[in-house]
Amino acid sequence: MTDLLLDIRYALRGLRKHPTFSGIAILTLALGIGATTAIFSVIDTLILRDLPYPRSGELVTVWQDNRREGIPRDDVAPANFIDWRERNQTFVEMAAVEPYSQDLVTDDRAEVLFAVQATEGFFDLLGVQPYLGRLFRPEDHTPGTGAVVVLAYGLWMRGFGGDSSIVGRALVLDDAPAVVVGVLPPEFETGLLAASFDRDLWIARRMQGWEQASRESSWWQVVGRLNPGVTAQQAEADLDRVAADLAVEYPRTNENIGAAVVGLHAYMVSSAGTALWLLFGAVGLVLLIACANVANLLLARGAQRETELGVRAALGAGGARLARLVLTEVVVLACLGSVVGIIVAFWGVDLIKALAPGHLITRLDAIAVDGRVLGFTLLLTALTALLFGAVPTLQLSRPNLQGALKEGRGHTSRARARVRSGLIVAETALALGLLVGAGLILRSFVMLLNEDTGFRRDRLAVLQIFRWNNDETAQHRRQYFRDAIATLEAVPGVRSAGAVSAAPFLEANIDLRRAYFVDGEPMLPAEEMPQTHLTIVTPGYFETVGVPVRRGRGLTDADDHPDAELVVVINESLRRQAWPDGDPLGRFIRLNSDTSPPLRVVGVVGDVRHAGFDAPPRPEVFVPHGHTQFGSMTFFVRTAGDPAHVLPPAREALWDLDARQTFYYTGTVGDMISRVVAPRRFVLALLGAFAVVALLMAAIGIYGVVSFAVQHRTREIGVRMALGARRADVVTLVVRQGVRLSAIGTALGLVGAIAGSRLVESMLYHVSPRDGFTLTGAAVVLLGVAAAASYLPARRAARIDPLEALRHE
Amino acid sequence: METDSLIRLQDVKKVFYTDEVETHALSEVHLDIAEGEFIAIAGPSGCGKTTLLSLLGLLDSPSSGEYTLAGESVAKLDATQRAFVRNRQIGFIFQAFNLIGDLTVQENVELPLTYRKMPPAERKKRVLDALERVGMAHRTGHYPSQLSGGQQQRVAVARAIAGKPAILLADEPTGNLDSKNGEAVMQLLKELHGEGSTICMVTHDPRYAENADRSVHLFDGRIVRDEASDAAHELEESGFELH
Repeated sequence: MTDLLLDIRYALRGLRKHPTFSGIAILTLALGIGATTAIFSVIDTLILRDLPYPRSGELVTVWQDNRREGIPRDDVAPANFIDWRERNQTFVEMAAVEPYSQDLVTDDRAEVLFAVQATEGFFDLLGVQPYLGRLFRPEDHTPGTGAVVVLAYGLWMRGFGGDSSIVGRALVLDDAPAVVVGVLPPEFETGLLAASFDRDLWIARRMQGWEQASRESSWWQVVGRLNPGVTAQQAEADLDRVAADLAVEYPRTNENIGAAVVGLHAYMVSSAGTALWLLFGAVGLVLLIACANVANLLLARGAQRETELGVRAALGAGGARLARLVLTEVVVLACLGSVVGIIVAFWGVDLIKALAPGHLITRLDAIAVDGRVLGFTLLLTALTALLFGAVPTLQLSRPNLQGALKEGRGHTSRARARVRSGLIVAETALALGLLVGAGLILRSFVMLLNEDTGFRRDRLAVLQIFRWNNDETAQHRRQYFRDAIATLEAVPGVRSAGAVSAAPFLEANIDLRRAYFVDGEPMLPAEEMPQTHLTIVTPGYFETVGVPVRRGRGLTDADDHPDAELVVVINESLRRQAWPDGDPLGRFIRLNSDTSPPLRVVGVVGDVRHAGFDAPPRPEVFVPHGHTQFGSMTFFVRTAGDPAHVLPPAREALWDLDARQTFYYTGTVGDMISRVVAPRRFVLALLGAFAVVALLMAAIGIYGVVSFAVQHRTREIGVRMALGARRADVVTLVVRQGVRLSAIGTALGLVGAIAGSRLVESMLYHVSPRDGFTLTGAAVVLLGVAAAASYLPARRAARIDPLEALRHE
Repeated sequence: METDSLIRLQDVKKVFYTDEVETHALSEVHLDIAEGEFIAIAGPSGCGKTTLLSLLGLLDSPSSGEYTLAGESVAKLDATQRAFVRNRQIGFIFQAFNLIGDLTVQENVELPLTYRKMPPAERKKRVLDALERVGMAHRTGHYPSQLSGGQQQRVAVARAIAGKPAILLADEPTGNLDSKNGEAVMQLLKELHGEGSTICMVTHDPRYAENADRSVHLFDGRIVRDEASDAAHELEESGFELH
């Protein structure tokens, strides 16, 4: 024990005496351990830990497997949900939720709230207990009784200051009273299922009569609790059986509609899981590079300590005793690196939370460096010490006694030099792997942003509103949108404005799909009729957004009237689908059936990507808003300058028109795109950061090895200069050494990157995982950094005075 | 006499400054070395022998004075120019051999030629000629660690003569050798001298100094004696010419 304390004291003294060595080693380890701990804390919270519900393993999500349209996880039609719930043999309970928005009216203004309508048994199924008051009872779901709501903890604190008298108070939601019966606990997952937004309140859903027979459209999200011991696969087979019966009973709507059951936990992490495991792998590579670097530093320092170790051996210290001496220093370094690493992990977690796409990753707030994560850090520290300490301990515990004592200076054997070179080769190979990964994601990101979305994305402000309850009649609603667009166009800085029902890149769209047929052509059976999206637009929409008119004309004010002829514009996708060889102008199409009014096609516009950069355009028919009474519309406002500056006056202008108007979404197209690309940007930011750290560590490693080599080759360099080598020759000689090692590492790294490229394949966009440009670029960057890292010691070597060098011992 | 000098030092001084101490390593050195001459520089430790050799070898520059090599003033050359002259005009033989351990015998001898950008075929021929000249052609693929001290010094001599320099500078070439190997190396230098090489050798061993045509004795950084060696006297007295 005394010996051990003595060794620890020696180790600490040694580290204190060599602050540069100690500082670099501790910082390197801290970056590796800290980054790994931070990513682990995310994975632990989101993937490894159970959801915060009793027996959460029994909770599942249930979907329609829409084989007709190739959508394996489609929302559920209300009537199908009712039948599944009644006829299944594997579920304790099933419940459905529907994301919704409600306007909370206070005084003369209204605030939009993100709500969920939940069917009976939803909270019981999850096993949630109220924080305040109560949750829903069966009678709350009975039509005709007073509406009741439960508040999320966040809204209760934010909107009502945590007032405990909130229970029993009536709120005005969408102009109707609703009584608050309880408040949910703060840890309740408010983004459950509808992860795009945190939800403010839950509404007890009352099943409408028409819903109980609705199998055509599907918009409910279903959760269930399985009977004990039942697996998701067994439950899926059970519901598939029910779905097959329904297909026989209701062939028009239910043919080719099956069921899909996915564990709730698996569903909630599925979108982020791949990215997080990829990042964990990447940070593991950073840790390995850090270990290789510190091992190299220890070997270099060991060479300087050779005489000391030789003397210790000569005085009777055996190999095990010397190994313990070195190992003590290794453990002390690892512990110090770990302590600083934990600080890095705390920063890292904060950074990840700031960068992470919160609208896609649930439970972000729950991520923390807690006792469990610190336990992982402890194990990681031990593993790290083993990784970076094993080789130096083995090498340094067998000093070359003759060489060390005779020469009285550091003696580096060829074997040890080979080990150090091997470590550099390994870390450059690993760094290249990370560079290639980050490069591929970066290339994908650039390709994505450069993708033509079909409209001009710059200087566009967006305001989404729902006006189903604000207007007394359809005529009033039509007039409101005419007035609103005129009002918006009068706002300073606005060039034009238009509105659309289904806005590209906006999540909360009202997508209307209709079967159609071309007038004059034979009508197919209903299940075989082609589908198109029905989009409602105001006359100035195409010009404002910058969607080009390819044939004919766009829609005008004259078309935007209920008494005007019903003319429509179609997009290129629908033209290709309906008139692959002919001219659609002047032709008619009908929606759903031959009894619907004919729609005359007056123009063809370019395709617009709706669901995202990588989503293919969809067939669309554009109908003038004046012919409809549609209330879910999104204003697009083309501005002269920064669109963000126009948003506040635009909101004020619409409030002047209707003081109680709420906005479901306001922002710029830039903001919308930022949300769409957020997951890729998140992975890119972290992977890019890891690649930069890896590159930096590799550079430090190369610098260290080359500097060490220069120091030990001083005499040789002097001889070369005496024989006529110019400074440039010496620089070339030294740089070549660093670049040669890196080139070997780069070659190995390229082989590894090509072999492992499939790991990132799912995250790429229009870029091959073996993209030559990226592979070459990464190799060039790495070799460039290696040359730069070697150049500094090379320049020092070139300044060696040959006379001094020849005297060098 | 002046026009025949291969090397001429005129009033050369070398002063080293360390902290506030000024050390005069060489003072008022005048030295002429003719082409084909074999000169020994002798003197006690610290007298300035190695400093003088370093100036002659352009490893260092004089603090003042003039240095002319083959008719060209070389005292004020920059580092690159000095490297150029060293590579073409000067061959070094060191006491500690200074062969590069990671290079084979052939590669060591080839080293100065690589800095001349000489075509590989010519380099190879010159290397083989030089190694044959010193009797080491059978060890071209060996590494220095596989050779004895005497063999290493012979390779070092081959490296020095491979470039056909104007002058060979030898710094205690026998200092790290036993007497037998020392004699062998001295014999090699004598043979090279006999073939026309100009040699300037630093030694503290009077026996080896006697092999030179001329001995220059240094003391406290000054040349205190510059005389033909006993062997040369004997030759002169017997009626033979030195060169």
